[in-house]
Amino acid sequence: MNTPSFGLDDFLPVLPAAILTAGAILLLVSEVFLGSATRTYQALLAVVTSVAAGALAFSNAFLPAHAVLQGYAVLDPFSSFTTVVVCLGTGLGALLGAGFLKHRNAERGEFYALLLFAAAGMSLLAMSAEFITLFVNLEVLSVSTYALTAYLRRGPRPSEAGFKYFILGAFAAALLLYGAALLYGATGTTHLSEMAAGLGAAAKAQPALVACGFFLVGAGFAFKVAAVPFHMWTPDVYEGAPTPVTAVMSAGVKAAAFVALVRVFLFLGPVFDPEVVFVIFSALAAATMVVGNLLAIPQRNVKRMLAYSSVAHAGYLLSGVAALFAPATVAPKSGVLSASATWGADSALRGEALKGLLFYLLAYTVTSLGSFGVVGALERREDETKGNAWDLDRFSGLAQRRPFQAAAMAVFLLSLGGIPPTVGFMAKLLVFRAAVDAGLVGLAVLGVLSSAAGVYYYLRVVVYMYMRPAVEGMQTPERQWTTEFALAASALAVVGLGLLPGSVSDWLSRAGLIFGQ
Amino acid sequence: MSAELVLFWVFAAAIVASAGGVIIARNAIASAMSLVACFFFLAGIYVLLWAHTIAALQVLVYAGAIMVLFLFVIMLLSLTESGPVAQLSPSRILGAVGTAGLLAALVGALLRLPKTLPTWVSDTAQVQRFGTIKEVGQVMYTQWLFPFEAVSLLLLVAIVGAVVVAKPRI
Amino acid sequence: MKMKKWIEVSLAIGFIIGALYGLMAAAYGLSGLLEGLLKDKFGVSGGAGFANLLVLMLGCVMVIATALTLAERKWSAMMQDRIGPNRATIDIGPLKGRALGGVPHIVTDVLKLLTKEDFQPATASKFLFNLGPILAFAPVFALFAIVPVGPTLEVAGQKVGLYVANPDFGLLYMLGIASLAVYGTSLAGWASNNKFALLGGVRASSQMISYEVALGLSLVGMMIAFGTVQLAGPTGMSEMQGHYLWKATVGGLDVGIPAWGFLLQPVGFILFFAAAFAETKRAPFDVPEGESEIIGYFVEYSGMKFGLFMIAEFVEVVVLSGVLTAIFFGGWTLPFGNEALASVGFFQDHPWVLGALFATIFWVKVILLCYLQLAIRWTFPRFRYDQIQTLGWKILLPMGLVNLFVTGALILWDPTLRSLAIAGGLEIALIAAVTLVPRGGAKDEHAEDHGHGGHGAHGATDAAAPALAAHH
Repeated sequence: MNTPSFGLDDFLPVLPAAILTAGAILLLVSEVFLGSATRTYQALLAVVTSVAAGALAFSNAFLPAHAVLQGYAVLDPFSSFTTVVVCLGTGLGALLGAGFLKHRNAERGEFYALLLFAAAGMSLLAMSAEFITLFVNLEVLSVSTYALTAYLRRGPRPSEAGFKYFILGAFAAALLLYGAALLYGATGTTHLSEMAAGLGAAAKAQPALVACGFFLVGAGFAFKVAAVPFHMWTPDVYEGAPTPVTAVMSAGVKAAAFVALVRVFLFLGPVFDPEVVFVIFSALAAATMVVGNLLAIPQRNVKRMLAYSSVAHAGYLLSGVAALFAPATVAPKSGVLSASATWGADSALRGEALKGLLFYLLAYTVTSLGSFGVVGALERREDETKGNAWDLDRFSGLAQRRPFQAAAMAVFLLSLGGIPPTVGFMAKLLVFRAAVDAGLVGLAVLGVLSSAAGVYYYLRVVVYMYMRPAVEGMQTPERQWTTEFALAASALAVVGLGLLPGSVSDWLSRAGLIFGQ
Repeated sequence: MSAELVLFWVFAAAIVASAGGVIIARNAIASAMSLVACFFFLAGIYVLLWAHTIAALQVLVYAGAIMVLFLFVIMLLSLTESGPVAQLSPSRILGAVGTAGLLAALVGALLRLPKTLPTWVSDTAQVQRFGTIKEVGQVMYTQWLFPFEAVSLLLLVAIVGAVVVAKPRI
Repeated sequence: MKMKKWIEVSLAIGFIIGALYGLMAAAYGLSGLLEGLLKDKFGVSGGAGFANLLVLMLGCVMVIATALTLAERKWSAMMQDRIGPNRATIDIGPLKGRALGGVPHIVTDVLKLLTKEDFQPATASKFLFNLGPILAFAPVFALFAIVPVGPTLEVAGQKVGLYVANPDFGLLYMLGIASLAVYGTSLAGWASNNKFALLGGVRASSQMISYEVALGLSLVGMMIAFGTVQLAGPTGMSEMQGHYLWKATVGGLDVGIPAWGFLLQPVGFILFFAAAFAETKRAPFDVPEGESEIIGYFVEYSGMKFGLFMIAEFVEVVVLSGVLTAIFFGGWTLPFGNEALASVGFFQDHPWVLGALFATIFWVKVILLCYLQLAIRWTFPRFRYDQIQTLGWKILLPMGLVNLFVTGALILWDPTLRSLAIAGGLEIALIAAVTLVPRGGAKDEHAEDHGHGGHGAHGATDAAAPALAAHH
């Protein structure tokens, strides 16, 4: 019998996920044995757990990249930093959730437990290097978010959102799995590295099979990251879910899914046909940026607007992904599809692109959590079923009523729009620079133009907050210190990272040390 | 034509027919029973592939446990046969076209598979051994330990999630 | 008069055992011949399995199940101090006017079921209505295929064993097939288009879901102990139980403590028995039927379709006894003297004689366990619906997990199974103590649950089941 032997080193990368799981189980048990009326301690426990996991992942990020656990997972800075970002998002989400749920008298240990389970799934997903592991971990995170989406079942909206998310998510997972099965059929292995080794021959022998597999895997991921044309579920689900959950979904789920997508396609794309991969991702990026921004413009519902904006941000991220597969030697004007180009970015360019991606994910996490946090802090439980809980009018005159929240919201919106000196600007700069360096000038220009369109609808909220008088009788829920703390921390991070990105971006430069490249 | 091939076509045709029955049947119970039949014939295909243990587990878990739960829920809901009538809308047509395209692509890809058998088929001893419960267990608990543990996390999450969603009041 | 009765009963028992012995000898002979014939003519094996299908399943199981229809009424009458069915007689010669222990009732019952109108409600769903009885009967019947009745021997130059099939995933087959039986019940309830029948079907499926997990879990301990999931074959659970844990030889007779399942796994046995009993849908787990509440899932069935449901229940009793014997009561082995018997010269020359003897021992154990099941069925009141759920999910399942953990730890510590047997002995003593020591002030529901669990173990040790009735 070939009993596997594991060293301590094998467990180091999964330790953050183990901490998160242990914290989740502790929270579940606490709900059984400690039935006190105030449950703020649960949120704090969740925060402490995610901070501990994040700190551990951060220390992991400075280890060299190598495969662990019989090759089912990898430990590399790329996945470790993703775990850090995910833990950051989870901690902030738990703080936002505390106030939100307290206002609705719905604070339960299960909420935070599911949040931590989702974070564990995201962390494991980021390091999966084998299709079955990847799928299972993707499901861990998806199932937790399905349940969180339907957590508050008041009125038809949350149920609809949960159901829609579940059905479409299951559909996407099925597509992904089917694609993976076809690729397995073509190569005889599910390990990404072995698959990459065998895919070249398989693609020659059975091009149609491999192409179908690629297409289906790509479609599955596109669903998860909400890329156009697989974005239909996003606005409804984001609107129906409890706002802190929406925040975590828009940040953490997206980050983990993007990282898994990058890992899979970095392994398989160059062997299969980098040109096709590049064209697909460029097209996805362009469509997602344009459609996301255009659809966000007419929204008066701020939560829905932010949902569409998250689609648009997936587009910016996708242009970073496209840069990974850009032709290396190409004259800027000769057109990207020239036959003489060698495909696949060189390692320096790839490092830039990966760094840009991670920085963007970090920036989007703090910004999106902050902006959804303000939306959640302003929504009253009485208005939930009326449908105008997130109307622009609710923001008018916010600067007089709640100067701190208005200022924080303004900062977040500016960051979403990519206006200096916020972190959103730095993030866009890094991603678009990587795109330009890779020769994707057209895509970068499209990105800048569409984000300029985005500034319109972001600033509209700022205008409402600062230049419109408050509507009579508009009430806002009482303030919660946990929410305020999370908002302050996010705002600080948005401005701080925007002004002084130095050390963080230096750390993230290690992200180029992705395993297997 | 060998007996295996005959059985394969019998099972394959039955799978397609019962899978069609799942969708076409107007009656939810008939739909569920078609799914049970589908799982059964699928188990037959597994047996033809020498994967007896998987076949037994397929019957035990899917046909025996999960579908009983389905049946139980359908009976509790006492669904009537008058569901919404499908109407043609642009999105439906688009979906149908997309599905047909996917089907055509998959059929095309599978038709082009090489006619030669993979090399491992000739290793009869290996083929006869690999489906046994001993072999499956050994592979699952040694080689596939990490995914296996990940599945346990997934099941835990699913249970917690189901309880949260089903809780009468939060 | 008393003496005459004793002679009659002894003769009847002797006749039954003799008939079983003859049947088993025939089974060996037929298996060997058919196996040899098929191998010579067509070059395929499987003749033995087919012969066993005919003799064991269609012969023994069906005949015992049929006899149980009478035995249930007769034994329940005994327990309730009645006479039981005795009116049907065969008016031929010396048999005229004699009740014959009620045996002619079997014939009259069959005639009645066959000649009744086969009624079908107008609004019933035709196909599923007809499918119901078949689905209720077939899986239960098919279960017996993996149960080994006798040892594997050389007969007519062929190695044959008294089992129909021996797949390498043995018990998984059993669990898989057993889980299908509920479809018949549920579909019958649903297809009848009758509210009471539907209630019965829903109750059946919910009960089934509650017990399936505990059913599988309770067997895992035995699987670990013997390192196999097979029942038949030289390394199967049945034969492995014949080995002694502690052995001594007294005057050429080997005695000792055999590795019988219920000694190693008393908790596992109780859990399995309780869960499997729940799956037979007989009292105290007869909520799907509940004749005083909802009449049952078969309320719209008549004639032989109803008969199929009826006989499926009795077949289930027999099959469950067979499975229990094979897993927990040492299969066909005796608790002592196996080796002494095997070393007799005559038996070594004619192995099938000894094989048939062992197979008869198996059937005797089966009949005793059938009696135990009937005793339980006529002793306990019906559980309430929620009590059944509580028992399944909150008592059996956690107990199964704890049992699994303890068993695994003990086997890891001592692979010879001796410490497992010592722990098993302690468990039996504990269960006996809990059962026998009278308790005051316990809550009703609690008492019932424990009464049931304790009852299984108790009945296993000395079959003093009715004594427990005093608790309720």
